[in-house]
Amino acid sequence: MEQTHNAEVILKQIPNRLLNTAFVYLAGSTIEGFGNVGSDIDVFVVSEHLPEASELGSKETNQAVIKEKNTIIYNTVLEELRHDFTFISREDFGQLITKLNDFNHQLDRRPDEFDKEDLDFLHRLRFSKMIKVSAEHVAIIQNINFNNLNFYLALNQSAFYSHVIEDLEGAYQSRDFGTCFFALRKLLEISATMFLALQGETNPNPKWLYRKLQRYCANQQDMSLLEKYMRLQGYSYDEQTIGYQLKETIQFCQYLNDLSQDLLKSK
Amino acid sequence: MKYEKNIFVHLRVISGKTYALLNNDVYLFGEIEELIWKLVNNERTDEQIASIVSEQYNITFDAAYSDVKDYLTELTNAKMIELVV
Repeated sequence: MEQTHNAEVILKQIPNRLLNTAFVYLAGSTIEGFGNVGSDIDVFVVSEHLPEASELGSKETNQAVIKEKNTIIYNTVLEELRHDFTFISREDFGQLITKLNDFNHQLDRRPDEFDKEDLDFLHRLRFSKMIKVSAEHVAIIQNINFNNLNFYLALNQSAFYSHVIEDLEGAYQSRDFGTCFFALRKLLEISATMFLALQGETNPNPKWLYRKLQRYCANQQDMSLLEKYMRLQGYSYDEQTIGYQLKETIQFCQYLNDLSQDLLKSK
Repeated sequence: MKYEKNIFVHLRVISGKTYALLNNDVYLFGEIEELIWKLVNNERTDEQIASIVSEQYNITFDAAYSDVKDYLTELTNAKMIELVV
């Protein structure tokens, strides 16, 4: 559910000395279509310099300015809606985009790591709505290779898959069925997240897995993947049937992994 | 005859090459081996797999069947698949 937003009110929060050359966009769950009535509005400002805390907001209550990594986060309430502003310098933005564009999933060496915040930032940019942008900025954004985000996320999940399947085998052989039960759920989540990332569903927050599956299936006009996922997640713990559950669940995960590895071979 | 995959085997593509991993064992798949692996499920017979390989690689069924049988035996010996029927 998309919240309404007032671009004029939002832009007024940005110091004039930054606004002229900045580009500004909305992002987050509301813009992506996953949000709900409780969701806030995320505003991103890419500018030459970062603002000083004293330049943001007034002395009203319910405002906060936090420096986090290379960004300034500013929270405020506008027209009864919570708005989270993130300011990032053009230089840091450019470095992150270059790192993404240079990422090659087919190279043997481990890529420079993107941290959790980087991945979240890149995903939000992908599903953003521009409210102030120049032709130059549009050209920069159009040249971002978001497919590399798909590959990066999938490769990470692929490594997790290897760990979890080994843990599962060890637990099953040791008859540690409780650990098997938990690991099966983890493997399901990893397999689906990996496969969906390669379909462009790159939201890194696990809380949106259902919504990503739902959107993917709706686009495919085939809900069977979601239905199977939910059925396998719905098994209750039973030592008498864990062997059957294990086989059925891993076969499904193996199927998703085979598809994903095939996609990872593509350029 | 039908085969099914060992559920603990998983594929991983590294540097564009496909590997099958099982415990500490790593197998590098060539193109045809990978195709055969992907065609193995507990419903498809070895003859059906050979038929698909024969079509995709434009070779006679007999030649394909011989290669497929050999490779399925190899995979079975490596405990990567097992005979179900």
